[in-house]
Amino acid sequence: MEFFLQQFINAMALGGTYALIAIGLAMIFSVMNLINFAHGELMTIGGYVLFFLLVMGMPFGAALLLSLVAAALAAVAMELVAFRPFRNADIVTMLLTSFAVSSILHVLFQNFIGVRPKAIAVPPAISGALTFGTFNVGVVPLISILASVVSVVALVLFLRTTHVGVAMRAAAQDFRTTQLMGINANAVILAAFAISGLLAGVAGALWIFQRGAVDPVMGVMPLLKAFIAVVVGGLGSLPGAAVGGLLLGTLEVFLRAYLPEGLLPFRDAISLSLVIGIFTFYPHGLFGDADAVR
Amino acid sequence: MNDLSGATKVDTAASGKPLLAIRNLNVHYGPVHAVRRVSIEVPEQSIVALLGANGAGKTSVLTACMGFLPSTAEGLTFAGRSIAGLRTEEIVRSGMTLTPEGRRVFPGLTVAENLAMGGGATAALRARAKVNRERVFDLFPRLRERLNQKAGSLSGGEQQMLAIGRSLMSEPKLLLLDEPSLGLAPNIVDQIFDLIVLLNKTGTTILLVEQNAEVSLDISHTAFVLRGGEVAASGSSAELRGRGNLDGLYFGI
Ligand SMILES: Nc1ncnc2c1ncn2[C@@H]1O[C@H](COP(=O)(O)OP(=O)(O)O)[C@@H](O)[C@H]1O
Ligand SMILES: [Mg+2]
Repeated sequence: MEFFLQQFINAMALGGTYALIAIGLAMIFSVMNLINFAHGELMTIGGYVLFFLLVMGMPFGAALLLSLVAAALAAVAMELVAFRPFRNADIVTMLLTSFAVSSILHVLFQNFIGVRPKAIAVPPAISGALTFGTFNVGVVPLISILASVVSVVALVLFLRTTHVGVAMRAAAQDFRTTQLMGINANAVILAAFAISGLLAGVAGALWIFQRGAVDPVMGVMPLLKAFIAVVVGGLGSLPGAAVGGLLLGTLEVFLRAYLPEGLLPFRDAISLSLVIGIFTFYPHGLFGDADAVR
Repeated sequence: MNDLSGATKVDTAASGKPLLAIRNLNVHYGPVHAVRRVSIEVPEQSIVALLGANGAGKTSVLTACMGFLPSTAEGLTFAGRSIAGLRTEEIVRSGMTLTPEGRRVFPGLTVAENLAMGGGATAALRARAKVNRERVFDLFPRLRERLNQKAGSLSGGEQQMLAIGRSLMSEPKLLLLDEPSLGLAPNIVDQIFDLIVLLNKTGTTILLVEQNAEVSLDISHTAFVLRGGEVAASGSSAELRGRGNLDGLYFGI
């Protein structure tokens, strides 16, 4: 039972992190039909900013906050430099552009920062564990769960109560009509990028808390997982992305915990097969037929 | 063929200076020349009907005016100012709004949120949204009852009322209506036309695109008939109505 509870906490932590990345991806897709393959690099950028600020001697909390801001700004810069010039291009052109951005960033990280991982000293308060009687639980998973929940609640409030948030939902449903209302489409898209970058920054920080290092391709695996989560949830659906992320994280953690030794190497293959099985019952993903953003 | 002499626009209410003046507008979709040298004047305080068969180019004219479609024109002025090349948001801010064909309400947003989007172009408009919303509710009491309902769950007539109400949230001087009666039950259609007259009486100038020619000619001051992207006829609505044979005008028979 204790083991199960621990695994459950780990599952929610990993799933929550995937969910944050997936929600950012889905948000950009729903507003502008772009699958941003450079989204994972926003995590990495946040990580490097955290690393360099800590090297410069900044206190951990301040450095962490600034790294989140940096991830959001990097997302905005991506939109302005790379995606805006192709705004009216077809979906494949946009997709290739985001691949290019991702590859360019990998090369830049490798050449100017280095191929090897940079260690980030996470404060003991975060890297430690809490003990309740005989029950041990890591602080990082708890922080991950808390950060995911807070981020999602804040996002929902933003989307429901602010003008830009409502405009973002409107744009996700019918971009042209939103423009027709005289709403500044560029501002809505910029806001979507800023938020997706912020969420990626939070996810990147959680990833680093877990691993204690940042490297040039840190964002690749989580982005792949988040992409699967988005497709499972139904392309463009934010609740779908969140549920897809949780599902994928849960599968991964529980397969790792309960699979017999001999099958462990096939963990990812098994979890992917299970996920693909979902499409037999929900061809458009779990939330695929519903409104894009609700 | 193009008897756009201007001499026929004699209606008293339509004697004001043009609020919208379109001179030789052209729209191309690739090789398709959909709107050909169309010139239309919408006098201040008037209702102008833009009629024509399916595919005649009516929607293209409206969307081109909104800066929503690449077009060329010798002149495109609104309230005495050239709006050629302006972005849609700038045009909305200057006081011209389109209620699009097929209503295009945001189905997953509530009625309140849809209205908020209509009045969302500027901070000044957003500040006046409460007041403007009350005015919309006075016109469409049904919308007040449905305030927190998703727009997608409304009936067709209610959605059209919401679409028009949403446009009114931007305080338009000129409202472009693209087939507001399309697909609605006859009694709802009557309500919509009554409302257009009421809006006009309270100071909104209207450019009305319709398939429903008879009623449109009844309520409008001047009218233009498009055929194959060109103005096939124009004049005072009463005079056009008197000519009877509208099908002839529509199809050139
Ligand atoms: N997006 C488009 N691409 C290509 N052709 C179009 C497009 N929209 C309209 N057309 C063509 O332009 C002509 C005018 O269309 P439209 O303005 O919608 O007419 P109406 O509103 O009078 O029915 C039609 O022949 C139509 O097929
Ligand atoms: Mg049309």
